[in-house]
Amino acid sequence: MISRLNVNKLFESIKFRTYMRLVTPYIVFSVLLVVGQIISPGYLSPGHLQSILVLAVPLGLMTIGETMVLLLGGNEIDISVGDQASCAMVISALLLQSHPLWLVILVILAQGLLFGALNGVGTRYLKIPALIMTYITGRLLYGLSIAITKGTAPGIATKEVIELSSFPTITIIWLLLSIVVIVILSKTVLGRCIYAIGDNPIAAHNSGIPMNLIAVIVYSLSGALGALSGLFLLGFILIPSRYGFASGYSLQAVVAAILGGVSAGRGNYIGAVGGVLVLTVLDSFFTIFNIPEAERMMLYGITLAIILLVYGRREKLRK
Amino acid sequence: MKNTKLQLIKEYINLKIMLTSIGFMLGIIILNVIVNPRTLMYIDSITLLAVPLAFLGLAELIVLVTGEVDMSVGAGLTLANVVSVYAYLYHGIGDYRFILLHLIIGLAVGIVNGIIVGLLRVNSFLGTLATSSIWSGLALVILNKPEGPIPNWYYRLFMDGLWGIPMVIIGLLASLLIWLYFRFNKISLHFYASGSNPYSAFIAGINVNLIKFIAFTLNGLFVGLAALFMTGIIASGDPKIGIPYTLTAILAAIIGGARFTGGVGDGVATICAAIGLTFMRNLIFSLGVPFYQQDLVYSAVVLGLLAVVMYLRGGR
Amino acid sequence: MNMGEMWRLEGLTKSFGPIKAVEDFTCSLEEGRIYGLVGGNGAGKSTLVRLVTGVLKPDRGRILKEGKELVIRSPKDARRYGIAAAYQEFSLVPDLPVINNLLLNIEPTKLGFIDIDRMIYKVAEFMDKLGVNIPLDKLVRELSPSEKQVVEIAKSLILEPQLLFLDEPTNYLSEEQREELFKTMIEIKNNARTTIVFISHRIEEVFRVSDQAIVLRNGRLVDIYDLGKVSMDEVVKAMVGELAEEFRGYKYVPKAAVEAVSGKPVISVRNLSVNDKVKDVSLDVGRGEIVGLAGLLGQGQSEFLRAIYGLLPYEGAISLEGRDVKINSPRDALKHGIVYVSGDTLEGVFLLRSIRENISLILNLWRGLHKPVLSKLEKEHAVKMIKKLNIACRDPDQPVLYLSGGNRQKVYLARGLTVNPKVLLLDDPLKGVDIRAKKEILNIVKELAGDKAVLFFSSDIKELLPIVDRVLVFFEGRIIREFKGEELREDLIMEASIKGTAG
Repeated sequence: MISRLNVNKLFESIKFRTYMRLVTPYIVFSVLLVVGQIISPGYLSPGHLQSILVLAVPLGLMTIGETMVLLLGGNEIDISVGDQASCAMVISALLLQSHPLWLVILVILAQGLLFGALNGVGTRYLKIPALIMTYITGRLLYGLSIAITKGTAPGIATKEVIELSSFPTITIIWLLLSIVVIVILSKTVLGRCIYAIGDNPIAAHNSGIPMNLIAVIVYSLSGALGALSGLFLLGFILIPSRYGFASGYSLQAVVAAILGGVSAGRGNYIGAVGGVLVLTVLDSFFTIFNIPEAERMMLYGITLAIILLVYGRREKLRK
Repeated sequence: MKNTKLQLIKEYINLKIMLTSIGFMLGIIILNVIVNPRTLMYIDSITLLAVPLAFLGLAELIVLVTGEVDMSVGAGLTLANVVSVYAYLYHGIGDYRFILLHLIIGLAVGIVNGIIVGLLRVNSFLGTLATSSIWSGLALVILNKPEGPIPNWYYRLFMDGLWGIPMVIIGLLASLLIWLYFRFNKISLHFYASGSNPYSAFIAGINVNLIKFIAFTLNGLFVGLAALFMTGIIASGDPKIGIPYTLTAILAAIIGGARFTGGVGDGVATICAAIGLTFMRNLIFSLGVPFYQQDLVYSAVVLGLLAVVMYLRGGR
Repeated sequence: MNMGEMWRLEGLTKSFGPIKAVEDFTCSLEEGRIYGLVGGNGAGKSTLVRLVTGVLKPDRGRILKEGKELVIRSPKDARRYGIAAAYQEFSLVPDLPVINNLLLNIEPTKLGFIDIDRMIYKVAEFMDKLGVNIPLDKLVRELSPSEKQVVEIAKSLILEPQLLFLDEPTNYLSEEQREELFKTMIEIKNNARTTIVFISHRIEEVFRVSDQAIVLRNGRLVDIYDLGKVSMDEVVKAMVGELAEEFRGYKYVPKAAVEAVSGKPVISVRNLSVNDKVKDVSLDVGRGEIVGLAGLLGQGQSEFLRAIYGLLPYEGAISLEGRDVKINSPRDALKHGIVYVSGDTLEGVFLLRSIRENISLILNLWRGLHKPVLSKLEKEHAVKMIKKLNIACRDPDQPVLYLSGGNRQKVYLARGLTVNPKVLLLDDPLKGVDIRAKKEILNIVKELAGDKAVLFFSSDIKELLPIVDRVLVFFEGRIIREFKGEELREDLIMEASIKGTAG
């Protein structure tokens, strides 16, 4: 017989709660897969599962960056990742017509790093709140994409890119990048510092952690990954149908990370991957049921609101 | 005593910030006229475009003063616009209720935001971001593409004016008067106190969370008013109309003296900033910036302005 | 209920987590009297004030006025009952003008609009009577500290309260202004029959103006003294209390022969000033020296240490081993071999991270951001530290959240010791720590002081006596007295701290 005391202790132990935060999105994912099979037989076929692992990648990459930013805590957030992808899509489509793939990749990575660093500088040195700053950067990227292509259609994806964006190559790339970020976060001093800053920014400052430098690094990485995901998006849809195509992904990346148990100083990318998978499956449901963009937006908004009610409230003034 | 009263009033209307903002506005307008003298012919229609932004800027200002922010003003405006036009086109509501509907939707949006941030104490940055998704999505559900027309009498109002007075004047006057009415009202002091030092406000017996709720509700009213003018300008319902306005509204409030940490900001300055920003857009156009560069240049200028203002203020 | 008894505080209790700030406080207050509320550090004075003014909710207890129990659920309620306070840290709104701070939430209106004329009328007369000359339209943020203090006090008086708390109201006032304040206090006591509770760290002030002294110690009421019938020494002794069991009968024993402070001191401070909290402090600390900082709380000890660590801007000179240095941030300080341990563990430990992570943090930083974590070495080092400091835990991978306060403090200290500092700054680290952990920490500091310069501030100086070489007493930002050798006695030091004089 398990005494009440023991069960309570178990629930309260951090280890248990950490495991639960990590595992919950995967449980939800599995449940959704079963639901998917019910509403659309053939959902669980290897071919279809493969396609899920492919479609999830762009969001997965964007969520890597978002995870690191959210770990920093203190109102840090990056809603420019989607616009990084949109701009990268357009730039790639433009440059691929006459330049080799490796060069195009370098260019969009540069875009990502540059505008990511801009986010870091704006939030840390100009003290502009992250939400506003990254929003502005997103608008800048949007404007940049229009300016560079002079408002005309940029071009089409090349065979190379399409191959890169299909199974198994794309999934392997995601896997490799995931491993890299997991290693960085858990086994390097930089990762330790990121968690420390999120856990206790005052103590972080008092311990001599270079907080501004780390913020710039994190935002830069987030930008680069966002840009990279744009290349894969191009491989999916071949031609960018409009500017700002991927803007909506920014909010999704935030939701995916939070669903994966990421918050200031807590959580890791493993959980966030679960969140990415959940959202990708939900997205596919939307497609199956032909739910248009409008309702999707609403549903994301409602989801975020509910999550915030659980995680993000101010404290009382009277103790 | 006379002297003190005068000084106090100067303090309440934030004379320094107001003058800076008026200077900014006039500067941009003059630049505009220099670059393109034709501007003078269209000055009233350009300024009319500034009216919704002025109301949105005030909406944002009121919330910023209490130390919160509203990322959903653009979406709220869109929703009010779309719902009203939809009600007219599909349910024939084209009389005075057409106007009422704008205000009701605006208020409703404000009240929901107010409950989430003020009463449930959710972080306002993310909370209003969430609600903005809901409003935008809802607007798209109701009207998935721009549709028109609007009631004829309303259209004529914006063409001919109300009793001969052009709507642009009515709009600017309305925003000014409503702001002054608020500013010289006792409750505005509680707003500033709640943003400047919520703990001190609490000790004085002010219910800070209630104040924030009221701030968002008033914000909703302003959003409804902004929507009223927007509907008149675009003469249709457009589910994508509000998207760029949130950021610009925040910028207008910041040029109007508001800080993200709360406690300061002036409405007259915000209105002037809104006018200045609108003419700035026009300036970029007049300077011959090709259409495909306009978004980029505008965003860059916004960032630049924000950086300058934050830097000068010491980034508080 | 006695004749003249107006207020009764019964059984007031308030805890913050495991810390009992106020315990079972009961007393009666008569109208028309001034009570001096005194007590050492952490006695519970400010907490008591906030309990009665509705800012904090008591865990237990009631407040009665004229025999009737008051329901106080917020500061607004307290105000309604005629309770007001001038707080030590001010309750002003910096972005509003003086006049609006005074009338916050009680502004006169005309049809909803701010009635500026009536506001000015009400306040001008009031300020005149008080003899205050501050422009009413000036924003509070533009006032000097003494002006702010005046406004804070004026604010508490404007509603003519029946129970008035003044928490350290003289901190920023000049001699003249203090006299004015005392005059005003006595006036309203006599004319308006107000009950005044007066808190001040300057014990002679309390004696000058109060009728009775309420002595608090460790959150409990010790006694109430009639100041006409008792001497200051008696009251001070009541504040100091009995020597704790294990420190009783302490006699100074000279430390084992330590290298005489030869050559250059490890750290030398000249004319250090920090805002208004530290004024022109100079000292030297040699290798192996442990210097204790004493005095009542808030006399500048923390600010002094934090300035050296780069957490506060300062004026003056700091030199290390003869070299002049300028320290602008904790990173600078750490680079120069200065380590700081705060009394508030929340400023230093990362609760969600493991013990070994916390301990190795600074060392890891110095290795470089790109470097990998060396788990095995880290673990070994952590185990060593755990043994040395006797940290009670399951294993080095346990999150610090699970450790008790004392053990968290040990982790905090271990982290600093890991990087072999030259200067160790300890800012009241034993606050709230259990007896055994205190002893262990003190032993470690004593042991490891061998090649370091240690500055150790404790709000309870008697704990330090076994390990210090000398004690410097702070009062109002200056060092007023040094205690060495045979003079290292708790009672002497406490008296000097309370009296604030060298004698």
